[in-house]
Amino acid sequence: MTEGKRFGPGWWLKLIGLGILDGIIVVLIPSLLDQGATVALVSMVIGTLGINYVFVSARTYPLRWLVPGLVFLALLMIWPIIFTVFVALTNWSTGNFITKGQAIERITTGPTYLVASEQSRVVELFLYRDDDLTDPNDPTAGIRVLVRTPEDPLTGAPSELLLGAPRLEGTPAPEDPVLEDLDALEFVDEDGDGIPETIESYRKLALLDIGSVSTLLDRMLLDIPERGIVQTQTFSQGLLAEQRFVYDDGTDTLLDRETGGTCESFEGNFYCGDLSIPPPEGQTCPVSDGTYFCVANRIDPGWRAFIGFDNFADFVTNERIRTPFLRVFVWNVIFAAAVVFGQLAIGLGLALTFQDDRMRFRRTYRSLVLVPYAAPGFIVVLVWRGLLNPSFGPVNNQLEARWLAELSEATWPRWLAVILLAALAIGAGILAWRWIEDRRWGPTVAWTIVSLSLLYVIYKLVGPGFAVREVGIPWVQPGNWFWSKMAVILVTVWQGFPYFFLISTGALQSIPAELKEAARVDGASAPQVFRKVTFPLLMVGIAPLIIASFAFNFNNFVNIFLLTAGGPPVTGYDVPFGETDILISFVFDLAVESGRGGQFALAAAATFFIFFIVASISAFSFRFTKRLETIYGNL
Amino acid sequence: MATSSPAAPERVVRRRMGFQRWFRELGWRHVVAFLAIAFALFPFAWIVMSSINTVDTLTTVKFLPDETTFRNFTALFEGCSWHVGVPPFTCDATTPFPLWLWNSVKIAVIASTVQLVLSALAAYSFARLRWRGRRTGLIAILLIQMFPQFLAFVALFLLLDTLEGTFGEAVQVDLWVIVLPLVIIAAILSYLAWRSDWSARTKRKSYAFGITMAVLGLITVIGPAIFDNWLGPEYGVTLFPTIGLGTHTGLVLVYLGGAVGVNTWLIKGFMDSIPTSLDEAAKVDGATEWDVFYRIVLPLTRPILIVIFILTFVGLYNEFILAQVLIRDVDQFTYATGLNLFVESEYAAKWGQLSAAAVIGTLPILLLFWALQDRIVSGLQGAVKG
Repeated sequence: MTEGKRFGPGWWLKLIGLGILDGIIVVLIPSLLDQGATVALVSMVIGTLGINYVFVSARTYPLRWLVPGLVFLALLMIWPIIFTVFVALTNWSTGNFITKGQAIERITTGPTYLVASEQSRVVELFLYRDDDLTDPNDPTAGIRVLVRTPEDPLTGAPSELLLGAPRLEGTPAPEDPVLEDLDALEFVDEDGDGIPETIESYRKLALLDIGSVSTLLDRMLLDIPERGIVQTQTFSQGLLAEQRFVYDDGTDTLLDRETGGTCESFEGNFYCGDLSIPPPEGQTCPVSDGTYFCVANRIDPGWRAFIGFDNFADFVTNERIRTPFLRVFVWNVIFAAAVVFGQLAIGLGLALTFQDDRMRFRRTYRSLVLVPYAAPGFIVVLVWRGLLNPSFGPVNNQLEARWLAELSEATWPRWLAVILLAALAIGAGILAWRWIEDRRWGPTVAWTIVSLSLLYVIYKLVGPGFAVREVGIPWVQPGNWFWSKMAVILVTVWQGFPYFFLISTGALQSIPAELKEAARVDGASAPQVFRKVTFPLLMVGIAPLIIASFAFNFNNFVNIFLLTAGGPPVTGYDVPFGETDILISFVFDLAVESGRGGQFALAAAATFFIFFIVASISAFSFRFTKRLETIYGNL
Repeated sequence: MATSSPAAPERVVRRRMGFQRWFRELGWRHVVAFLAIAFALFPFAWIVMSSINTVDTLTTVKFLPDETTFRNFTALFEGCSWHVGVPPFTCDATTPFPLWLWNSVKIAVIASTVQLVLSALAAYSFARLRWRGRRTGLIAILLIQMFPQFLAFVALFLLLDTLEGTFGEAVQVDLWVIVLPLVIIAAILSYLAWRSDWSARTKRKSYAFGITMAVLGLITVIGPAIFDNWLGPEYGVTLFPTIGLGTHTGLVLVYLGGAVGVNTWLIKGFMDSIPTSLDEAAKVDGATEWDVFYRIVLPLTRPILIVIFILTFVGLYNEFILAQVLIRDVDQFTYATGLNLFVESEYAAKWGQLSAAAVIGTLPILLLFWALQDRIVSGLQGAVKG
């Protein structure tokens, strides 16, 4: 194994690169410690040490070529998968987004929770001013407020003197209010009453000097960290609105100044009030040791906490989450299966049509047929959304202009349509029967479904309530449950049939012509040759690709999101979802678009189900494929 | 189904058939082909027609417009003006289409270039170096790729949100902070070259570097004096960009997570077909492993690298879900996520502009696809031919 020349340019480059990497990591350590991201910190340090080892040791030389790619693979591919599972075990959501320390800080400081105004306490205050520092644009410039706070009966904090710069009412509270340290300042207390006459260049205001400040008197606020806000009222008196909650480290509870009670922490939130009262009829709350943790008693914001398998349990036990999930899942399977069947049927049919060497222009035809597959998916789906617009879209316009008007009335075109559809349904039924004779269940089921769907369309056509004439077919946005589903299937089939056309053509070419000829010589008819020779052989080749296509369409987010956005929406459940939502778009709604805020943990739990399904599909497809063998052959 | 007969010369067959027989055996195939093409192409025909229609709504019942106009195309670029800098224009519109196109191309070019480099390095290790765990590593890469990265978008969203706390501030400096040291180095190098007895080629390179840097330095000095809006409103050269939610750096990093994957396999397969006798001969002559990779294997792999680059580029250009989740600001949108804004509101939907934007965005992709058609088709069909 050749190593780079020692002390050559490569060596120096390596040294500088490692130096920069290690430097960045060292710089990052304090910031990560600050955020309490221990796991991230430890894995980062271990990872960096590993990289250094790989680049220094001669034994690990081959790994050096891999490390750059592997770092990204580990960080942005593998780790997110693991992290998804971790998030699913927490209560991570918009209301529980921050760490516990941050949540307690928000609850116990700042203006979020102050005691009710009638419970505010009167405090003594003194005003100071430095006339040189006044500023016409900033009325509070040059003013200091000295407050004598009373003893705190809740925490036992003694009475003390606090000095600070006030702000005007209505201005935003500073994130980190700071008081001045009186003991560190030079002050003069001549009369010895404990209240200085001057502090540095500030002079205590006497009642007679008050003129310029008088308009500000009832509009000034002084923020006192961890205690509350003082509002000046008169020249010598203010009102202290105290923080409602004080956090007690020892018992991990909040002390509630307003009621005098304590608040308990449970799964990422504090709950205040009498927690022993069961919730009213029709409401359920988590219970632990006879304590009910209901939303009504919750104090926001909460923090992200580990809550075990509750999210997964929700999908099973909570009827208002289970029903949406199951409906989405069932439609997801139907969608993927219908789409793959449609794509395969059209693609294979086209491949068979083109499979005659005497046919001319086949290359040109192929180039044009491939366009839906080649064009960017998000563009064509948006275009289809325009085409299928119920009120203005060209599809409905054309249908209406030509046929729908007649079909709505019981005239001969309607009966012609019914007869044609009935013929197709019977044809599909016959095909299903033929496949039963061959004991091939996949095509049997597929054709049966096609036949039944056609019968359903006939029912829609002749049955009651067929009045598309006035509004047009409600495809998408706004659509109804049936036609929206038809629309997403139609568009996805349109987009993917060229792919199946290509691979079917390839697979057909690989079937030896002698086999078919031998079957013909033995007296098989053309359809029999197809069913008994061509189709089984074809399936051997394309079965893995059919499964892969199923997996792809199972997660076909773009088509659903851009065409119907999952709609039409279904209301009345705990989670938002629509008739055409598939699992991945359901997860998207939960995490990102939800009107009720990002429910990341629930979304992650649903993602975990998708992982499981994708893994099952992959494992299943490995049984069909020789891929692993070819992989081993390639090594 | 007609059995395929051995390929006879077409003309002869054609002449011997009557029309009826021709239609029964071949003609209907052309009819089906035309129907299929009509089915495949009518949405495209519709957007082309609607992009040049004067009526900016969907209510164009007539397929062929009464009057044609390019107003929809020019409207896409309204509110944008040129200036010196990156990107070379600014847009002040609710739907800054040129900016989206720029963002998409920028992100896709950067991400696919880095992906290609990482992939090629990894492929070389798998193809040419012998180490324990090689087979396992190759199979592991394939298995991991079965989980599409976008499935974990919740985790990626939270990850980038966390990173924002650490990398939330970009390190920006004035242009001269970067240019000045380079100018000084270039000057010293040129002086050394002038006084030394280096080879003519090295001297030429040194002088070229010196002249380039001198010109760059001059532009840095006089640029602000000449151009009003020098380098755009947010002037500053980013040394270390912001990483986090809603940043392009974050999105590019996420895309790089998929660098080592199927493409590594393809490149590795291609490298396997290059005879190792070439490497050995070079090593006898004193070449290092890096020399073999950079000067022998990489140039020979170029055909597949170009194809993979184009396919990766198109793939990232089309990527929708991660861009939708991770980018929140309209100015930062990519082409894929921005296009939706044209028609987001039902009543103010600009279908004409959407069609024009769709035509502009689709054409280059279709041309690339047609150019690479044979390779893509044989690649797809290779999987089933066995």
